[in-house]
Amino acid sequence: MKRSLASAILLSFSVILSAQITFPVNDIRDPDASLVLITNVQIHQDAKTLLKDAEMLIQDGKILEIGTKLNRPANAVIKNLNGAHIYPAFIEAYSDFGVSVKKSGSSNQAVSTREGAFSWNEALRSDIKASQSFVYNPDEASKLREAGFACVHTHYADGISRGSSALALLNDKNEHESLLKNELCHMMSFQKGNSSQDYPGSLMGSIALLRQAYYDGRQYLTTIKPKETNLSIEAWNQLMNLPTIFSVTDKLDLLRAAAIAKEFNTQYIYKTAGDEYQRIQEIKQLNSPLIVPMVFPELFDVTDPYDALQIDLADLKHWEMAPSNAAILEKNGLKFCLSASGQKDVKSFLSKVKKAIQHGLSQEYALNALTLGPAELLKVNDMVGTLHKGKLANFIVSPTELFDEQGKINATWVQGKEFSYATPTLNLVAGEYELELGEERIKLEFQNNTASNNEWKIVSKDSNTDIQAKFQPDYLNGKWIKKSKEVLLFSASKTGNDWIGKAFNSQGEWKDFVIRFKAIKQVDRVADNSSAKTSISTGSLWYPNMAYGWTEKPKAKTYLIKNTTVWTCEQAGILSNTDVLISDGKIKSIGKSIAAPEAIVIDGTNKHLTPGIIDEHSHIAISKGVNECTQASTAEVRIADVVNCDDINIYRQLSGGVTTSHLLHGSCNPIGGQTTLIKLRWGSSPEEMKYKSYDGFIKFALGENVKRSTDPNNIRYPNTRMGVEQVYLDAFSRAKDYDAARKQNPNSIRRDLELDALAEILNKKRFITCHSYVQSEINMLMKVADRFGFTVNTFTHILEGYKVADIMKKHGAGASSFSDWWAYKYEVYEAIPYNGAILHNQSVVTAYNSDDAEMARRLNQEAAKAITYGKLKEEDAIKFVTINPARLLHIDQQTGSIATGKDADLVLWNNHPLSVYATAEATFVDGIKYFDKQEDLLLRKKNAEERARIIQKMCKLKNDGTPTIPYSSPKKILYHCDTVEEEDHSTHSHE
Amino acid sequence: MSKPIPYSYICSNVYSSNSQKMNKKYILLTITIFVLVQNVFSQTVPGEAQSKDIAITEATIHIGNGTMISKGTIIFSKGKISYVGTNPSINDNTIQIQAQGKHVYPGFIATNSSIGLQEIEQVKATNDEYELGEFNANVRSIIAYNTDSKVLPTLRSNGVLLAQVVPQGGRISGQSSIVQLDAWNWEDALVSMDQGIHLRWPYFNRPQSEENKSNSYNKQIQSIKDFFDEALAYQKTSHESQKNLRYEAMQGLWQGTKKLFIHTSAAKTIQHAVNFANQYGLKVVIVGAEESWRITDFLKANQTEIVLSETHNLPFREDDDYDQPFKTPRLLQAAGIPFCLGLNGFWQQRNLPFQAGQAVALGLDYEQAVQMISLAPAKILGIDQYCGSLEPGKDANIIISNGDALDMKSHEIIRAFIQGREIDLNNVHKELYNKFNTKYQRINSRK
Repeated sequence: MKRSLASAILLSFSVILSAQITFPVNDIRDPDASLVLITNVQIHQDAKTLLKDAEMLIQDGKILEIGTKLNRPANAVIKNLNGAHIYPAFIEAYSDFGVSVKKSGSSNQAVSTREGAFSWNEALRSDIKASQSFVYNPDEASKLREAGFACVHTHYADGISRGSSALALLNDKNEHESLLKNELCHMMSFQKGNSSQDYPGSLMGSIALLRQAYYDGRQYLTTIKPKETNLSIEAWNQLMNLPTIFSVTDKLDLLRAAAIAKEFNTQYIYKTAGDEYQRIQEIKQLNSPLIVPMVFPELFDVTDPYDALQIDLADLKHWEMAPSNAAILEKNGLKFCLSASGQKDVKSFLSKVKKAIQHGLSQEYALNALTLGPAELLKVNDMVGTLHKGKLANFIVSPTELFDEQGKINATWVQGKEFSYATPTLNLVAGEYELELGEERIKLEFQNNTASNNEWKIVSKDSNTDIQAKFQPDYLNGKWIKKSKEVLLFSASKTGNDWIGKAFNSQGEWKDFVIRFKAIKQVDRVADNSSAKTSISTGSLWYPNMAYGWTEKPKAKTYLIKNTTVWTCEQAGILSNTDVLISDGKIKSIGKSIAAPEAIVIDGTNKHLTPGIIDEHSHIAISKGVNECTQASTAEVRIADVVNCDDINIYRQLSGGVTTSHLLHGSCNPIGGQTTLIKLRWGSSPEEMKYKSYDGFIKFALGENVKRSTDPNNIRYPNTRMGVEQVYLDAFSRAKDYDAARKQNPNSIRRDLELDALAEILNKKRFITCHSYVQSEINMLMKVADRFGFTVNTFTHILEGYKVADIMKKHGAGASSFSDWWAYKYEVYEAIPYNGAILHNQSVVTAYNSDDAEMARRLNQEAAKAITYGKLKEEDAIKFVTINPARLLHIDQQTGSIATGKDADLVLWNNHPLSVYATAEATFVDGIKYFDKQEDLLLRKKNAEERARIIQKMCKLKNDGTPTIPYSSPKKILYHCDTVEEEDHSTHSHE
Repeated sequence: MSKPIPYSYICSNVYSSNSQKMNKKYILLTITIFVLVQNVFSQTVPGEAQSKDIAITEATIHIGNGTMISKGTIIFSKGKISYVGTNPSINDNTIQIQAQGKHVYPGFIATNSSIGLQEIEQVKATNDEYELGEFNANVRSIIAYNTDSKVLPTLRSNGVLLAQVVPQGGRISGQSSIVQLDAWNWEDALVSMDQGIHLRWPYFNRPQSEENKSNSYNKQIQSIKDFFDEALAYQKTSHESQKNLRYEAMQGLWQGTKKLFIHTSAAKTIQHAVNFANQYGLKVVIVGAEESWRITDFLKANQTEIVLSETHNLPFREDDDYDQPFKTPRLLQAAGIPFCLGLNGFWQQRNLPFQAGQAVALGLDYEQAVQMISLAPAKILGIDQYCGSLEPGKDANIIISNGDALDMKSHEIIRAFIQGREIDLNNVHKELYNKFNTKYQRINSRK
């Protein structure tokens, strides 16, 4: 019955049937076919085109006509907007509007809890379609509309692959009518989110999972489908036809995602974190569109200087520069949209955009980045994004130019329907008035000091009495507090310029009450319309943008270090009164009285020159997790994916003479991740820090860490050293079969990143550095290696190496140890500081490493302990931290000693380099002086001045009334082998 | 039960190799000690009380009080130093130790250590430094101090002869005592019992979480104040019954027989801690005190004593100078702050001399660096009347090093005395070294 009635009503109108809907309504219908004519407006059709004194005719939610003189249909409702400006409504390119994330039940699962033939890993949710769980959220919609948005691009904001997105109109209709388009983009991130599974437990794990997902997608039909049906991979392959939006939490993650895009020959759109300016050159080269949030750090309270100390210069600088991010992107020619994603209060979004404009973003770019920009990005510019005939009537109304100081959103029209927020204009006259009540007369003034022109107050000229009033259009009410504390309540209506009403006194009497207009008084308001257009200056960008960052990166120069003691770490031994010439990043010559007129001369008299220190075992400069702890073998994860170039320990270690660091995965599992090798090129990007070509290594580990000894409830295999051996036997047996099969026919077997890495070991293309302590298991691993025909390259820590030095020598393994650590766990109870000396004396290539950000700064001292304990010759001791680790890392042809033609990785010491009294005067990496004791003093001064300048600025803003928040420092973790936690990124977890 | 010892000769091997460098006169003395050692593998036997006067001659003597004597002689008798100078009169019965070119120091003192309370960090059963509860003023470290810890000999052989043994954990961790590291049990190890109460000052402005919002800095301070107020009120009357052990333990603070050690790092919290102690009229020692260099005027005005944490430490803040921890001792010294160096931990204490040496690299006077691990801690620990420096009347806690003991490239302790007793410098590490050297000697001799 209802249905037929509905269709009858529809049929009786000769209207556009596209408005037809499939579902019943529990009411009579209101076909939305009315005509609306907007008149007397300045129409900004797009960021470039302004139609002055224009009109727009809307029908059925769409723009029917637009122009300066339109035909006026008689049945049109006319809306005169009194000269207001209208703009295309904003489009939010990144949102989770209406798509709630399901809470996960348990945690610490090894396997997925999802029902159905989906991916083994819950974080891969490629089958999800935002439209399928979309529930229109009127409260959120209202907030977004008030901020100027008429449609939002939404998705299931959880997991690594998040499936496909949808575009929703904020039209306060049901889901069917709100959803404008489905399956626009494939949404991705590095965060596993709500997944109850352990894996991935680190950023590098997320990256490995994602890479494997790409490979699985590609080989699904050939190698997977014959054996299993996997709905997630099938869905993934569908998604490959869509553009991908990758959400990142900082600029380095952006570059990491870009590396994946490059590997799989695709392009991403990045939803960024707002710090792209810090790596603008690298990001520019990607030539990828960005979705940039307008999230700026809030003003910190720095009124207590000791509290201010807690804020690192990095945070101060980012606070100052974050609003310039968009301007810097524009200046560099990047294509980007602006997003309200991550706003604490979305209502303040426009003010954030204005702030970005004050910091140099052009108004034209800003408007485009909110309208046509996202429309084009999402390929929906046929429907939205500009104000042209045929497009949806989605627009915002501002009383003035939107980005002027007075500019604001008074109304948002969605699909031709108005949602208005403007408070009615009061239309009052400022000036002198007089209150009349009986015989009493009090002089008053009506004041309006605010920029909005709409906030008024009454000020009493009689100091003994207080008037408080509230205004509505043509009406006011309030309190009159007399000197006697008697309170009269009053209300009055506007009559001419006077206000006439009644007052109710303390005796309960109603009295006649008049506020009579006397004279106009012009309020002198400082016209400040220009402020939105004046640009705000900030400090300059440093590399990295933190304490000790460079304003200009140092370059390789020609240096002649004269008359110094040269510890060659070669056959030549220690040469006194010798010159070393370096140029083009290499050691050019070594000898007496070298002449090089073009060189900068460094007097090395009474100083010592050694090769740069090489730390075979380091965990500095790593982002978001050093351990992928979740499985016994995680050979697929790579530290190279997560190098962090902003770690202050890079600079600190340069000050201790370190030039090369081998960055290792932790020791959580028998087969850990692949390592990477960097030079400490402070200020460079992660890619620039890495060695261009080097033999790949992988971290293995034995003993207490891998059997999870500190966890009494361990359920992860292995639980004993016995199990550890079996893990290796199993892994290498699998790898052997895999390798053989792939060699026969690469397409016959699923490409598996874990087995790839293990097969490389079997093929002697990847080398092991194995965390190890006690002799039994050290011996065991060598036997496993013998059985599979490879050599364990390095045992790292190897604190009981002294017990099996002969076996190591025979096997061909090297040792990279601590000088004197022991007693921190049971398996190091027989660790002795003579270990290095014994290993060395038995001709095992021996190095000392740090595994510790602090110790790495004085590895020369650790080397000297081989003299304290074991009486090594000085010449041999220094090799423990130079050429020996270089040999272990297969870079001894390139660095690690002072020889002609080698990389100019050098340290000049003020004293005997094995003495506790030695400090580095200068450290060169590739002939570039990255540390210089004198220049460091200038950097300190520069840091102090920059801090002071920004803190002054913060204090001034606080004085001017800007609200502040107390600073709470983010958790920074110094990684060691057994660190399982990630850094605290809770500030980003809401996304 | 002592087992037959296959490696017993190794001990004498090490020592004879060391002894070759010594004057032959003294080999006898050494041998008498090893007769005792031979039956117990990896055990060191406490030295015998000094029976004969000993003179160490022609040595570079680092007094420990900031001064040095070259070619000096130190004579000690019945455990006490009787003479230090360059013009000794040595009688015939005195054993002479020719120490030309060698360095003599007072035994180093490890402050703020967990020596003897911990054996293996990650093996819970071997750790006795953390008691449960919040205000553990009554807890005493001394009774858990393990004189037979395998760690102790590894410290002595690097010159650390005395230690403050400090409990950890809680808001008040308990009471520390001072021990010497050559003893049969904790009673004869004792140098000063229950001399300090250790308060862990709250952290200021940790990253906000729901947990620490409800337990804010100010609330935590208030709870400390409440405890001190209650303890102070408690001691105003006598308590025959219903004794409160916590408050009883606090009495020494009010009476001045115990010192208050407050552990805190930041410039702001150090000031709060000192102000807090001032409110109770207590003299306070700040332990850790990484940022003490920022507030030297304040510390000086309050005559606050400092136990400064490791020089081998990362800078406290990201923006700090890379060498800040290396140079903080020099800054405190220059400002006239009474301070000593105190490392955390137990096995780590063997690096105490090197960490002192690190400060010399950044301009601290060498003798001041020695002082910061000898007389300065003795003063702060209240044992300077009889320990801490090589001055007549004090205990003969003496080490002799072949070279500069603060520099790892020359550090080599060859003799050491505690209260005049020559101590065994053997340790489990030397024994393992010799054991496996033997292995390789045998292998290589077969070749």
